[in-house]
Amino acid sequence: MLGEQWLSETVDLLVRVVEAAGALVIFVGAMVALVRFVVVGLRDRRSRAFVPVRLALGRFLVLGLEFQLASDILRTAIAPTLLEIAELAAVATIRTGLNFFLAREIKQERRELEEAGHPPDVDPARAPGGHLT
Amino acid sequence: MTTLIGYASLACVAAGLLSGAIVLVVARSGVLALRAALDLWLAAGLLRLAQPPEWEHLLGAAAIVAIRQLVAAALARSRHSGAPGRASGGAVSARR
Repeated sequence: MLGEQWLSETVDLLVRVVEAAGALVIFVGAMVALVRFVVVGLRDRRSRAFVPVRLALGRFLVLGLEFQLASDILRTAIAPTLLEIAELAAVATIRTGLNFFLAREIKQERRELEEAGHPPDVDPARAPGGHLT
Repeated sequence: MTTLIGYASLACVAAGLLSGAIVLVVARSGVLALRAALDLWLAAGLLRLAQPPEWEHLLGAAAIVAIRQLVAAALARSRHSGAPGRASGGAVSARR
């Protein structure tokens, strides 16, 4: 019984740590994106220049979501009631769906950038002279 | 932890408003501005999901995803039909 309680507390701690890591990644990504939106808006006043910023933010969100999904999986080890399991299933479903749609959007925007002749990883704000062309 | 996440989520909502306004002013594209704002509001929704799960938070995050998909579909359709950008939400100006 003591061992079971210890295991439950350990998993709970791990869930909190992994979930906090995911939240930190998402928050840092959002703040970095805000700063880059402002910089791009001031320096490079073209709408195409915002696309790499959105791509980078999408990558941060996907990474954060993966952490949150990992915490969901960990939580399945300690979900004793059916209601908790149902809530967990709903959260995991939404996060998996989000992950799928975000990954699809990132792929789509990357393809559009490549079709337009711009490598997706180049940030116009950081390119020499502040311009891609 | 919950309070901290609440503040972080609020900061993301404010960042979304600010980013949307910047993109709207610079790019003059409503759809692009909405997409930029929705990206950050999605981050806020995801942060709220990190709190102990509540059905209200789940529905909020699901609603943001649905709106994002709608905006993306509208943008794709206006691109394929070749409609004038600003009249149809700025698809052409978004591709400048």
